[in-house]
Amino acid sequence: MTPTEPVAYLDHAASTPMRPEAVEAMLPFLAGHHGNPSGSHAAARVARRAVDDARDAVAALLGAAPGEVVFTSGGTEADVTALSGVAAASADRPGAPPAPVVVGAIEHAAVRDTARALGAAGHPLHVLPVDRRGRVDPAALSGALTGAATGGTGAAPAVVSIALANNEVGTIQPLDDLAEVLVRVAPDAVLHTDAVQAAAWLDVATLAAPAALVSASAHKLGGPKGVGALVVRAGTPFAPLLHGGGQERGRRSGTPNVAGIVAFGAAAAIAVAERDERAVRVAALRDRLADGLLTALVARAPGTVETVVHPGEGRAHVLPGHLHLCIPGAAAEEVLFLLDTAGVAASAASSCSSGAAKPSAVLAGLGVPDALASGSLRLTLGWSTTDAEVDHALAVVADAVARAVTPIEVEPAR
Amino acid sequence: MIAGRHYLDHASTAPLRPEARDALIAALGTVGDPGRIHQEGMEARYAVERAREQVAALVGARPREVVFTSGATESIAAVAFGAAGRGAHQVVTAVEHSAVPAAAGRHGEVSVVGVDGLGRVASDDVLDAVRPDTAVVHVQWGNHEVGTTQPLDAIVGPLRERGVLVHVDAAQAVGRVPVDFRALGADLLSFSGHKFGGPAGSGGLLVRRGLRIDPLLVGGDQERARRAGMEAVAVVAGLGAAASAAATGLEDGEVAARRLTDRVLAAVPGLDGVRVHGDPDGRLPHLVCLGFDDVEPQAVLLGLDRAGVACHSGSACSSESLEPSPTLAAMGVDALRSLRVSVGWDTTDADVDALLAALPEVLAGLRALRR
Repeated sequence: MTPTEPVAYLDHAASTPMRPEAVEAMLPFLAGHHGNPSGSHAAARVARRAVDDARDAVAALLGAAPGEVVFTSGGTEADVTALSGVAAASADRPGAPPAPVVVGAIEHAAVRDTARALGAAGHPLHVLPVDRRGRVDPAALSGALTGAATGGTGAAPAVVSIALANNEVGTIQPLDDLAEVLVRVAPDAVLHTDAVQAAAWLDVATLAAPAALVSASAHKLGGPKGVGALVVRAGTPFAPLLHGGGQERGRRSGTPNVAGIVAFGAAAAIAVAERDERAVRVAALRDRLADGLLTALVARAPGTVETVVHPGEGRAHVLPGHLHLCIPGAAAEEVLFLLDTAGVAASAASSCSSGAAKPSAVLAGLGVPDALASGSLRLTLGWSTTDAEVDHALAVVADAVARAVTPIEVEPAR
Repeated sequence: MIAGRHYLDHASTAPLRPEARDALIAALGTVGDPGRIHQEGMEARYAVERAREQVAALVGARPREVVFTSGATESIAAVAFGAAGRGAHQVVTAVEHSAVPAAAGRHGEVSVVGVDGLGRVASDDVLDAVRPDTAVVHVQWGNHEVGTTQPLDAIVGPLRERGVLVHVDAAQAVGRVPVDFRALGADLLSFSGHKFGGPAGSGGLLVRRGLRIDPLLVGGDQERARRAGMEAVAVVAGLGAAASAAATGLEDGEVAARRLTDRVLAAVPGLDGVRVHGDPDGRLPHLVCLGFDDVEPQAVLLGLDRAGVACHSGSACSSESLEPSPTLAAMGVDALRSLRVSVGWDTTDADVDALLAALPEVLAGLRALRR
């Protein structure tokens, strides 16, 4: 481990530090108030009330009725549960052919891999292309659903999963446009949206309203790792992933992580309360970082581009904390190492494909050439990011990157 | 501890051990993603891997055989799902935790092996239930309601020889009795952290070296691509510390638990209309199941609660359902009338004293109401 004290933590999209209020909220449930909230003795009642309060807060964050919130072990479990839950419910209909599964090309791996597994199990699988900003084309969705609907009589409704905001490049998806297609072409289709990245920044309650299922994760918005939620709106065809004790109204069995859930609730409440102010503040920091870095990098590594942001477009379609760059001739792993030595924590891709030096499926889906994608750098800001961190990053990142660059010729991105 | 309370429901969930609490709180400050090469990530990775070694040491496994999950329910679901690729049939005993038959039924055709009046399966019955298309046999280490332990030695070896996966649900055993995964020889073993003083939301699945089953949670390479999703770093650190604390005092803890539950058992003959369910010899040390001839256990539970004593009625993890206990039904016992008393790492003689003082009064009060 390097002796350098980290000076700029710019990996908030992987995991953001816990809010002190969330830590504070969970402490009592690590001390005296132990007790299984399903138990009938007195100690359990305190725990149950606290979980109910957290459920209210998360419901407000995600725009659901409290009874529609199912706590999970995180965003991945929520995503897997959503897709396989709807698919399994359709399989429970005797004689019905398997439900079609429709996902975007740049979905989080939890969605992509679950969709692939469902495809291997016989569900017709459609992967929707995205434009250069990372948005799903409504016409492509319409085409896939029309194809799916002609798959056979009595076919189960399709499962459609499109993230509200992308984890790697930060593109915000206009879900309303896609929901309109569903209403028109496949009113029975079940829409799931992964709001894991969006929940800290966007008005999910409004933007995800057309989705029957919504995933979120606590540690992306100041809660602890290992807690998440899936909204399952009333009337959604659904079968659980975890069976047994019948907790979470039979939709997710297993003794709940009471302390973690309570902390999630506290973090969710703050996230909602100060969302607009924080989004404006962090977007300004991000813009300063982005503009400064681009200028410095283009000079030292010609051809460097800001992924999904094109000249003259602005960044309104990107999450406020996200900055994703593709640097021709840079080896991402080496860049990250040099950045760490210089006190900057960043990442090359999403948190799930980090360790391995394999190309990013998201960048491939965006049509970024491999030579450019192998020099990807994701800098993500969050609630605790300061001016000083941005200053430090501006002072060291371009230098570190330049040291890891071997100039190459790259075809321009489409 | 809540003053004046006597918590005798460790088999549902044990209070968090102080060592686990300290480790969990300390790890709340680890900011990074353990999958990262940056310093914050490495700190988180270190916390997770240290916990893996602590857990491995408690259960006699190699660290690489430990897959962290959100708890035994997830571990069990992962086994039922992951084994399904090997065959369409799964075998369970009649006294498994409800998570086991529910998950097995979701992923295959299920055969249920019955038990005797003490809750024991016969190893031959288990072996006879195996078919050519059997993917996995689920058998618990010890029962969560009556404490009866199963003849694992007579079951695991022969099944392994026949090439059938063996999954042991050890949720009630880990941290309470010595568990040696290597010596046991099972393919898979599930456990929960919160049953022995680790945090709720922590647990694991032991996967024998060389065995590969499809993961239930996909979408990331965490846990060597056996369980996707960012590691619950703080909770995992707490689990590791609880495992370490449990391992240190394991033999003493087992002796102490048995002595405390023996005190309850010794008092039963003096209580009118109270019986003991389960195997008096082959049993887990920390829990006993009492049956009542003539009073509702829910009423006993409430009476004891008022006297400051927390116990548990029936099996259900979810008390909202007052369904009959499948374990007791499988044993042929009147399934509506039982009470579980379970002890753990912080239970004292005073707690058992409180139970033994309150129980006769509660029973007498209830019986008086009916006259």
